[in-house]
This record gives sequence, C-alpha cells and structure tokens, in this order.
Amino acid sequence: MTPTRSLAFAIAASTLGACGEEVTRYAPRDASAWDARGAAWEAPDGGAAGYGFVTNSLMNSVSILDLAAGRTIATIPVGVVPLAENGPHHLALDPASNALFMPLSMPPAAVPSGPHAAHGSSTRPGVLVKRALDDFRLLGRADVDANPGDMLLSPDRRRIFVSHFDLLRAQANPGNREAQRSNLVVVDARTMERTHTVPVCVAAHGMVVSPDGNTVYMACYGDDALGVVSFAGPSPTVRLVPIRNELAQNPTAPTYGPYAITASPDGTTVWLSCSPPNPSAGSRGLLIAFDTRTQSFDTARAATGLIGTPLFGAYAPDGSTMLVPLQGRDAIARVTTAAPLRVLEQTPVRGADCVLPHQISLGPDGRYYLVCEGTHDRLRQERGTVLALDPDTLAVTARYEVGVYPDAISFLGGAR
Amino acid sequence: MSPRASLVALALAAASCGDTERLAPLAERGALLAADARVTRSQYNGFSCLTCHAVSPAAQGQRALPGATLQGAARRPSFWGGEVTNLREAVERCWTGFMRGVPADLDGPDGQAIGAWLDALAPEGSTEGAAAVTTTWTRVVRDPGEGGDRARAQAVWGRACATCHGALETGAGRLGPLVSVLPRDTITEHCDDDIAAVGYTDRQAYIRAIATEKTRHGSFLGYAGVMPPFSTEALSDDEMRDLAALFRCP
Repeated sequence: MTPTRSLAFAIAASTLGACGEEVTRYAPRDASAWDARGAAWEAPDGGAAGYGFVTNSLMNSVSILDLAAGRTIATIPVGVVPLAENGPHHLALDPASNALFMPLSMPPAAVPSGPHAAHGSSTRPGVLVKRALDDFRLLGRADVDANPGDMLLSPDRRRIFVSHFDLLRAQANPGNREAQRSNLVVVDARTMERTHTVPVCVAAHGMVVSPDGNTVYMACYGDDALGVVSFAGPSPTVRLVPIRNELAQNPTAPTYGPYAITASPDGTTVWLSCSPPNPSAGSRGLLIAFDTRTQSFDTARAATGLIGTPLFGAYAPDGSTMLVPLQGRDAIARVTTAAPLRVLEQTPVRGADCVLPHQISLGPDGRYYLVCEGTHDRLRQERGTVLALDPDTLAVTARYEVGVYPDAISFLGGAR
Repeated sequence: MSPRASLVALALAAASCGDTERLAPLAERGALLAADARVTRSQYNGFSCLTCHAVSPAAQGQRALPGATLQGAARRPSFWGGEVTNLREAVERCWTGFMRGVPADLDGPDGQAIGAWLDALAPEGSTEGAAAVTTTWTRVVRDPGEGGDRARAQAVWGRACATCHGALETGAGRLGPLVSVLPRDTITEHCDDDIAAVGYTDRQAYIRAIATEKTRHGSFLGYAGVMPPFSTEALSDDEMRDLAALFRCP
C-alpha cells in the first residue's frame, strides 16, 4: 500500500465512528502480506554451470536440473486449475524480467473423472501463464485457444507466440477448411494481453521465429505444409507452403503430418519433422529443410529413411550437423545440414535411460540434453528422463529423473 | 474534490470530533473480515474464510471442513495438496473459485488485512501448523458401493455438510438460496439421466457416484458451482459411502 493510500485508509477508518466514541485505527502495512517467503528453489553454485527447466506435462510441474551437479534439484507445481491435469507443455525463460512462460494445455482426462464429468465438454481453453523464475509466483495469465501446443518468445522478449495443435477443431468442421484452421495467438509478454489472433493452418504445432522477430514459421500438421506468418507489415500475413505440391486433401489424416520444427541459428533453414498418422510401409516420417531465403523446400536436404519418427532437433555449434531425436525405434540421428543431406549415424538410446525421446537441445555447457517422455503412465507415476550427452560420442554423461511425461527443456545461466 | 483536498477534509473531521482513538494491528481487521462473507463484495457469495477453514485444530473440533486449518498456513511450503507453493495464489483459488471475488481485491485494503491476519497466526519463528497439510484428491470417482449406513450419514451430514446445505431434505438454515437442497436437488437433476451413456446400468449406483463426484471434486473436473472439494483426509471414504447412501432415485 502506498503511503498516501495508507494514510487515507487510516483516516477513513478513524472517522467511521460517531463523535465521542472510541474509534479504531488500523496500522498500515508497508510490505504485501502475500509476498513469497523465499525462492522456490535454490541455486547451489550460483548458476555458473547453468540450469535446465523441464516441463512435466502430466504432473503439473517443472523440474529444475543442476547441470553442474548432474541432479534434479527441485520440482515445482505450476498449474492454475485445481485438481485437473493442467498439461504444461513447452516453456520459455526470460531472466531479464525474472519470468517463465508456459502454455497449459488443459488436456481432457484419459479416464473420465466421474459420471457427471463424462457429460461435459472435453474442449477447454488453454492458459498461458507467466511465473517468476525465482519463487514461481504467478505474475500473469492469459486465456488462449484449446489445445495450445508450442510457444516462443520473440527475440526482443516482448511477444509470446502460441500455436494450437487443435485436432478437435479439424474433426469438428469437416469440409470447412477455414473453420478447421487453428490460430496463432500473440500475447504481450509484459501485460499478458492478447494482441493478435491469426488463423493459420490446421493443427499447427512446432514453431520457430526468424532472428529479426518478424516471421514465424509453423509446422502445419493437418495441411502438410509450413505456415509462414509475417509480422513485418501493419497486419499479419499468412502463407502456406505445401511440402509437396498441394495441401493435404484430408486435414484429419494428412500424408506427412509435420509436427516438430528446428531452425538453424542463422535463421536461413527451417527443418520440418513429420509424424504421419498413418505411415505407409517404408515411410516413418519425413525430415525436410525449408530455405528461408528462397522460401521453398529443399529436396536435396530431406530424409525419409530414418529408423524412427523425427521430432525437435538441435544444431551443432559449428552448424555443420544437426541431431534429431527419433521415436518408434528410439534413437538419435545425426545428419548433415548442407545439401545433399547425409545421415551420419542413427544411435539407439537404451530403454533404461530413455523412452520416447522428444526434444534435444544444446545446453550452456556444450552438452546436448535429450528429453525423454517415458511411458506417460500417470497412474503409476512412471517418470521420464533427461539425458546429458557428450556432443561427439553421444555417450550419456548424466541422467536426470524428472516428472511424468516431460515435454521440453529450456536453460538458465551457464556460459553460452 | 482532489484526493489531497479529501485527505485534508477527512483529517479535519477526525480532529474535530474528540474521539478516543485506538491503534490496532491490521491483523485485527483481517480477523473480522475472515469471518465475513461480504469481504469479496459479491452479492452472491455466502462463504467467509471461516466457513471452510478453522483457525486451529482445537477450533475445528469434530467438524469435517474442506479447508486446512489456518494457523501456520503463512509458513507452509505448499497448499492444496502440493498444487500451489505460494500463499496468495492458494488464497486466490478460494477467493475467485468459491467466494466469487476478483483477484485484484486481494491486493486491496481488505485483502491486505486478511494477509496480515494469516501472518499474525504464524508469528516469525513459530512452527505451529507450518508443515504442509496432507491432502489427497480423488480424481477419478466411482460408485462407493451400497454399504453406506444412513443413520451414520446423518452424523456425517451434521459435521461436513450442514454448515452450507442446512438441514437434510429441507435446506433450512443453508448458506443462501442458491445452495442446493439435498438430496432432493441432486435426485431431481440426475435421476433421469441417460446412465448407459456413461457406463452405468444401476441407477442407484449412478446417483451415489454423482453425489460422491460432487463431494470429491466440488466445482472442478467437469462440475460447476462454487462448492469446495473434500479430500479423503477431510472426509474418509467410509464417511463418503455413508453420505452417498442418502441419495436414492425413486
């Protein structure tokens, strides 16, 4: 309470009684009674080696990894809807504003929670939340559409982009392509107010943003396309670039199903990782490059012979190669980034270490970090893992147990 | 009148009265507000903080309350069965979810007073009530079975339900006109449901499951309204089975 407000409050309280009576004046309080008691997690070495923040999408929490100590040091709840699965998916950190952002997808329960709930809708709006990095207090929230998928912070940290992997919307509007399209929602990172709602494509998921922050590239699962959304002009413009010659005939059963996306650090290449819902024999998913300078797919940089379905990858520091996690036969592929694409290795991961690798990221300590979903078994609380990998040999140098169904990792601190 | 002029006028009014003045800690005002359902300024709210929470185990006595005791709450590491680690966020769930308040009011004078009161219940250095309260939510609810005892249920009703729902069958003394009269309203609302659509064949089992679901989930997980959920610590599964026996379709 400000001094002026405190004074007004105290005086007002004192004048409530009639004259000649005892009146009670309450002492003002300078600090907020709601201040957190302290940090929600401790940084034991001052953050010199960096920390990994991992969303646990079936545990309503974020796990914090101490990269120097090689252990999980905290698991902190992040949900905002009581009792329910809140489904924290991807996340972004902004140390400058002491903020952590994440969309909560509010997934329908795998098992109806009771006979009454089974009557209800399974489409609930998602929630984008902003929490403090130190004590995780809630700093803001914004409603987004149902089934939020990926999220990004713009390079200037002012805007948040949220995609919506909204298959239900596609299924609910057969034959109406416009109605099937999911929105790209843009939220002001400071005020948490929605600034743009841009219909882009059917069931968009993975996103990357250009280094200048003006273009968002989206994996358009139901369209078999890359969505290119430009914010350079006075209003956003959308262009869909089909992977092959045309958009998917049936958006609920696309041929390729682009789902994940990876960008080169210089922004000249965007890679689509495809997860076809009905893979034909010999086709486990396509990995293909899109050249942002020519605005076209580069068929000389495409792979279809991978032993599993590719997901979210990471570039090597020198940019010559890229690592991509594969699911189905759980493995890591290393491919060249220049044409012609060559698959240098496909190294299986040990089941005891990693089930369903989902995302690989280059950490601040120069190692790769592989997020493994685990078995998604919430009832048995079987946890997923994060593996630290030697960048050259891909040998496991640390294994972190995290929560149920980890989905994404972001880093704080460290040298990089 | 400008704010500054208003202040001067108020000060003059206060000085001219000759009242005796008592300076009280803000927590004292918080204690009054914690017992007052008008605190959230919603005309539809019937809950005060003390409707669902006791200050201490001694104050709770034999009542079965959905909320944890409040002494020491300001020092606890987590709330809501570990779902929340921040006191304000925990209180905001009650404030908006049950009491129909707006979050910003928690940062206003009344909210600050309640916060001060919660602080004062747990003085610096005190460990009384400071441990996290074990709270288990039953997320997937099924029929608790037909073994419930209707006589025991009357006692459970008095300890757990009567504060809000009033007397069984009539609702006499309930918190307000919007509060359900039970079991009548549940039976009226649900006994004609298409139970096969949700996997039930026995209508009595279904209505018991509905009653259990409402009790365990309150206004969450597909239900609505403003009822707080009862954890298995607040109300045991045996007590729930007894209560469910009160709900029978004709």
